[in-house]
Amino acid sequence: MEKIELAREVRKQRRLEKLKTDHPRCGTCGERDDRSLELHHVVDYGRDCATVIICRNCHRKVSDDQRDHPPFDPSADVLLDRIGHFLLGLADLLRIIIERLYAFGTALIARGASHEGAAS
Amino acid sequence: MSAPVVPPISDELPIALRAFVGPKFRTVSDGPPAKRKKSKLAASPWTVIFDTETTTDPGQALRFGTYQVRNAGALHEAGIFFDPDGVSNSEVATLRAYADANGLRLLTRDQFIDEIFFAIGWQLRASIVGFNLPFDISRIAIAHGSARTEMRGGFSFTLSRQKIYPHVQVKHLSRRMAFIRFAATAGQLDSRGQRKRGLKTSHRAGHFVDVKTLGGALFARSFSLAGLSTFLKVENPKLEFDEFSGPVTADMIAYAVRDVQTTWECYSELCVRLASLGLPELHPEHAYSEASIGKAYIRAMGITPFLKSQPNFPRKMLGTIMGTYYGGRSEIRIRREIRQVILCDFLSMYPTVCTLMGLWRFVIASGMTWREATVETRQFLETADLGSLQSQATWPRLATLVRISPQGDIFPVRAAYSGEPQVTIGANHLTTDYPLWFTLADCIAAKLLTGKAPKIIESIAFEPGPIQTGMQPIDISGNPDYRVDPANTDFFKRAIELRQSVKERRDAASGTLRDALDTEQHALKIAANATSYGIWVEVNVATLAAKMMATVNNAVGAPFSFATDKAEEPGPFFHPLLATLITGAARLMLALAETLIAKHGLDWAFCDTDSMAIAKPHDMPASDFSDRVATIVDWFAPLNPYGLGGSILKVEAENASLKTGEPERIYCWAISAKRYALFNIAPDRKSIMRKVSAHGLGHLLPPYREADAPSDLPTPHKSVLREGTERWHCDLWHQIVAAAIAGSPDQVRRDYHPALRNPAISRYGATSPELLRWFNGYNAGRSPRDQVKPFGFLLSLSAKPALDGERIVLKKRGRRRAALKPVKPIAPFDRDFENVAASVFDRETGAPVPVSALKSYADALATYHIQPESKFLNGDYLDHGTTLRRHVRMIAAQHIGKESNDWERQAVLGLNDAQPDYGIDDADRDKLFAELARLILRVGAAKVAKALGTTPARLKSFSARSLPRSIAGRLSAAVRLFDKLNLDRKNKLDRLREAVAREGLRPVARRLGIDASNLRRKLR
Repeated sequence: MEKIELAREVRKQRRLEKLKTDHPRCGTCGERDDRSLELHHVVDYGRDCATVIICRNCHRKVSDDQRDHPPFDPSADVLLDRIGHFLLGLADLLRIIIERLYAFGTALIARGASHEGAAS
Repeated sequence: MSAPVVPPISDELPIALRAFVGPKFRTVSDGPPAKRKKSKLAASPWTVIFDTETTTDPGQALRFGTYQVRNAGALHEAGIFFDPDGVSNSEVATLRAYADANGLRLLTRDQFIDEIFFAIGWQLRASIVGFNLPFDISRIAIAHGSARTEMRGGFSFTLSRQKIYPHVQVKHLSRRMAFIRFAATAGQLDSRGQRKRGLKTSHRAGHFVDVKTLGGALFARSFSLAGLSTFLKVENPKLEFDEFSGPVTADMIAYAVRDVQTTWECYSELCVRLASLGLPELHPEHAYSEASIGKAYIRAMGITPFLKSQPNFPRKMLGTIMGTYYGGRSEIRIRREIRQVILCDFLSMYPTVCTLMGLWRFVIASGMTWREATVETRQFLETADLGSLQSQATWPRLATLVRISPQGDIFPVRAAYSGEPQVTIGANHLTTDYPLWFTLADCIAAKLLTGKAPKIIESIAFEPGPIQTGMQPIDISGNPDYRVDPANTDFFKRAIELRQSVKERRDAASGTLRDALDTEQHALKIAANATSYGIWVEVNVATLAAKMMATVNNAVGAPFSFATDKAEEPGPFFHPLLATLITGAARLMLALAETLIAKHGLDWAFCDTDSMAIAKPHDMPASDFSDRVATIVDWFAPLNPYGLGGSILKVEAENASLKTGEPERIYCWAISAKRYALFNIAPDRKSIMRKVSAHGLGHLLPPYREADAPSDLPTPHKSVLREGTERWHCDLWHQIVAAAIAGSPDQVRRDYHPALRNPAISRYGATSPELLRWFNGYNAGRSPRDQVKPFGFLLSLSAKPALDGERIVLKKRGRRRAALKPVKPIAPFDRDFENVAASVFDRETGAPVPVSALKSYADALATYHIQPESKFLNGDYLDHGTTLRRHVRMIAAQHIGKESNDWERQAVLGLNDAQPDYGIDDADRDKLFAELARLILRVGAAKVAKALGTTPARLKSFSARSLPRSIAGRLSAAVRLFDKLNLDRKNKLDRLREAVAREGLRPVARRLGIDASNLRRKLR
């Protein structure tokens, strides 16, 4: 095997090991290229170890949204605080999904209208 | 019913009872907490297959090897690698020429390790595939040491000179399997961000697949590569080649290249077979045995293991349940007498009793409950008889344990009979001073066999808990027609029914369809057998670095602490109630058969877990015999729980003629448990072997092969040469039976082949650091290539008794005579017998052992035909006829752990990885203290102290209360030892007297190097 080919394959396998799957996919946009996939902590500030596979673009978006989450409060109830932040993180992900669904639905309707126009 | 006849007490013995020494934590863990979790990701599509060719001397050092690299099955690269120290320049040229001509890469060993094994095998998460991988890994290693922690008892191999690459750890488990994994690498694996979050990178343990192991798991038998490639009908089966001692030639290279291709094709086909089972979570590298497949089915159905669904199940109760556990009955009733028999076998005994008792309800239950059931069990036992037991409705009530104080009742008795070193189980009369727990099935069996119901003191009935939620249906063997919903289908029953129907379709088919159906029915058999017993009683024993305190939960007293270096970890599906109920019910089936045999005026020659050889009384006409056996077979028909007709007791194929398939008279010659032969007798009084036992022979290398077999002995039918049975076994049995037919069964010819005069050799692998240490003396001063290496073969031989052979004398101490120690001869592996003979040495002292001091095959087999059946009376060497049950009086409870099933290997090699022993129960101490006092009076305090591992002064200070458990635990063994020494001494003296009578006092004394008057004094 050529050195470059091997190095590329090693990097790929290391990524797949980190993602813990041989078939990773962005949970929000469906990107499949493992070179652009990462693990995103749903709860910010490392409060929880739950991660999702997400592409770099979507990761930038949700990470930016996380900056608007309430800051760390050392006196808060740990469990409630963690669950609350988890739900906020989940909401950020769903927001991206909703936007895509909205765009997809609109595109489908538009395509349907153009077909109807063509038929008539 | 007439009063039962209980024989007088014949033995006073400690009885061994299984104990539960489980983990101290409340829940069953998935393993000890590791510093770094293993990655659970499956292997990538990459595969590295390799094989090695070695020298034929004891070092078996690497000469060259071959490999392939594949990506998603497509060949990416193939090549040859060589050890520069293992091949000459001209051989390198030969390798290069072959590689160039065939488009292969040529690498050195170092290059192969770094560029292929680690760069691809490790870095790309490839499957690393071979046949007998531990051997090949040890050949490409540059150093080795002992593995630690989880892999303690195994080896750690250094393969690469680069420190960035991990070691490879290999721990031998059995002939067919080993754990193999990459060790952790040095250095920091976690990024700063991971460390801040407390996260750890998973440990990349690798994906090692030994095709030998995988084949064994899928087909429940052992294969060579040649045999497997033929069995699987691969496109490129293994070639034949024999000139390994010569120089490297193109033919040798072609053979090696083909080996890798054959291994790949076998691996591919086995993966297809594994995938067809519909168990996607079972990866090839984790299919170690049938049990792996059984566990995968259970997991696939989403069933939560018992100890996880009920983590608070009382440990004391587990100890009680384990105390009732005994294995299958394997006994001889008519010994060393030719008897006409009909061999019968129970259909899938363990799945059948599981189905009859409805044990699937326990498997799918969320734990279980238990209740006191003494009164109802007494009433049940009172009415239990042949009639009630013939009804399927009776059997679910057997999920009950009973506490009995046996008074001559017949129960399974686990003891060291006749002073033998290991305990064995026999159905004998038992009398105890205090109660023991048994299964209700064993209690009913006792009633059937004696006519007297044992008195039940206490009884516990078990009920399954609520059905688990979250289970899901599966397709057995991946076939949608074989769908099973665990919540409402008995898996055991369904698997057997499916198997029977597929077998019928197979028998009616031909060609490729027949082959395909045969594969299917075999897979169904594995599914049924793998889930119906072993996984419920699985306990894994690990040896610790130092003794630790363990809590011993037992069936006779309170839990106690015991220091032991053996850690018993229950398997993931450990459910001892199921295990004990299954084996108890199987013993009840045999007891039913035995009762019916007696009722019909017949005899039985032997039984073996699920089979029974029914014997014809001498004066009974053959037709009458057949009719009565048919009646017995029919009796079991109502107990068929499956949706197919017929009885669960079948007449076996051995009872039919090889030529016509019609019933033909078959005879039996039985010697001891699992040691028997079945044969026809031709009109010329010659025997035709139909089934022979390899018990007690399997550890020996064949003295000769089929091609050199004696021409005057008949060639056995191929049906006789099944797995483990070889031509020379049949020849030996032919001689044993011929002697019996001729009326002189005690004199068996052992001169029918010149090879039997050669030293008897057993071949083992140096599979553990302990075994390899035997060669420290041999290896000292030799180059690494010439040293015996891990997993290299070693040869074990046996020494003749000291009188006839060479004496190994230890160094004299002062004026006292040097002690004679038993010789333990071993030799490094060599295919040339003369080289072996020249290199035998005592593994303890390193002193050479001459051939004249070694036992030949003829010597080793001298008593094979008269091996005692020590479990019973009238089973001594020259005894013959019906064996009689012993009447054992229990003097103590000896608590033991998992029983070893590799006793032959241990006996031959003198290994001490025997069953964990947790010593004697407190209640028996007083009795034992009295026994200790008697022993001291008999042989003296000094000898007793030495045998018990203490000093005379300390021995004198003991009282019954202060007698340490460890001393008490060794006492019964010490008594047996002194009995044996006494017996050995008596035998030696007898032989000395014979020698003196033959040669005269002075010549014998001169030969032994002692004074004649001293010898006379000893012999008086």
